[in-house]
Amino acid sequence: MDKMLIDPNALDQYIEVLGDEANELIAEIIDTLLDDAPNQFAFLDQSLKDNDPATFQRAAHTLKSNCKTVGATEYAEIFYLLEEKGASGDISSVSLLLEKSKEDYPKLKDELLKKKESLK
Amino acid sequence: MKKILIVDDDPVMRKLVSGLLVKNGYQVSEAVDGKEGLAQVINFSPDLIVSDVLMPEMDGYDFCAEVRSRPEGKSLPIMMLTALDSVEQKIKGFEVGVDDYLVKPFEPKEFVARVSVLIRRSVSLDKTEVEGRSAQTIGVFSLRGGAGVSTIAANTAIGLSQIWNQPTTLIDLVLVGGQSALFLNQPLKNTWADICKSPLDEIDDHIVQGALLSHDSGVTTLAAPKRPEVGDTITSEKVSKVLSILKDNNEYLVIDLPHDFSGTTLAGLDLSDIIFIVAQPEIVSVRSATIAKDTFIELGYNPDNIKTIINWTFPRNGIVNEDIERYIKGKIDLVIPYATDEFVEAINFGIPPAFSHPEEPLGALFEDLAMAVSKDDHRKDKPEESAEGWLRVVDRVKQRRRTK
Repeated sequence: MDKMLIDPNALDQYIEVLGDEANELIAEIIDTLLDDAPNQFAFLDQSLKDNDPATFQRAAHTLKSNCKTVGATEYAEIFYLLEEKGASGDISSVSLLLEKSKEDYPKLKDELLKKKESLK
Repeated sequence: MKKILIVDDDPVMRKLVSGLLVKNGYQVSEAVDGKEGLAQVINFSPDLIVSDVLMPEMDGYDFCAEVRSRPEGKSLPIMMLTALDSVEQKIKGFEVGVDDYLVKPFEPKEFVARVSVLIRRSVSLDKTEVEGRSAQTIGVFSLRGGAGVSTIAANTAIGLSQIWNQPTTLIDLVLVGGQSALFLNQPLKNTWADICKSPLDEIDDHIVQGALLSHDSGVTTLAAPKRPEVGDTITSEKVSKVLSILKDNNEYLVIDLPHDFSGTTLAGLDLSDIIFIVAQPEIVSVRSATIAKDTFIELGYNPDNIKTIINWTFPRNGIVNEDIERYIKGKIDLVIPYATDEFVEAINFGIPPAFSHPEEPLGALFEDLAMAVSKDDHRKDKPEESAEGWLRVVDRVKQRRRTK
């Protein structure tokens, strides 16, 4: 995946409800996601190290939900699979998937920053 | 300004939800988990809680159950907002007292509409909250006149009264020119006008009960004012208050709604547990029904509680059911066959078929409809004293089973 696919309608639908004020909120949502994502990845790493499936599930769930909110539906699928692993109670075989999710994250960041720039 | 508490450990979701709510005129407070949320219920005194499910410390289910166990949270509306979307998870939410459930990612327009409904509905109920009775409320609506809304409302109310022998009120919310009382041949001794001449804070149970008209079926009616200019002056606040009083004093309410989305109409729709959309099998009427249905969903009403009724007010050349269902993107819940002679006679004599001929097909159809929209706790057991209407419905069910 060279460029991450983002559904533009996911964030643009806020314009329908908020009109001109939507851009400010969309920019804040992007900033908050980019600020928080490293924390969630840290939770994933730490909970994997501690063998704590509940925390692992919660962090994967949060990343899945946030990716869907900004329209990164395909990328969200990785976190859905990680969340399922957490829910099963067995996170022993998640390393490859987790690495893949980290590898693709800069592409999401790049697309979201471009989106934010386009709002100015 | 209404206050909303957001309980979510995810900062992105808190930012998004609070942004939407603040920009729509609400005051917002945030909590990062259930424990912090409980403290805020006391300190912030919210009018609504929007809660996530998966949270550290105390999850959304435990949080909602805890809120419900406290006096200040007993009737506080709670919306659960989560990416968990299985039926079991939704049921678990409803079991701990959640009022509404929205799956993330949600459409912002739908979220704002549902918040607005939950708050409006809770305000209506709070005004005259009384322990005990709370009527199952059926709103009957069409965006176009001539579809038979008043006929269906009157016959449904009679069906409910005849099946359960419980307090049932037919409310004419067509405040300008409504004719519900005429359908039951009731002289207009009292109307909405007799209630609404009192100031809002003086309207009470005594005033409302005094304005109701009695019918031999057991139904009481709140009739529209005789003079249209009086109806025009009745405010949605007064309508909400009167409906709340009636909801607390009846087992069933049936509301004959006008063909618009005015404030008084919304007051009736907000309080309805089930909404009938009535249409004739012709393109303009079906199109209006589709617009009405879409609007209800935009307003945040639960699509499962919106029922479509097709009323054949002409004998032939109507649109077939399959095409109507394709157009309205849903199923038809009831088809009323062409029976204009019976209906016109019933209107002219003020004797609805559900009352005069409950054994005949048309009367039976309305009694069966009434049974279908009765309270679950009424339907699950045989009543201690079976009313004639209940016996007729049960006999018909048995007959249908035998002929299958």
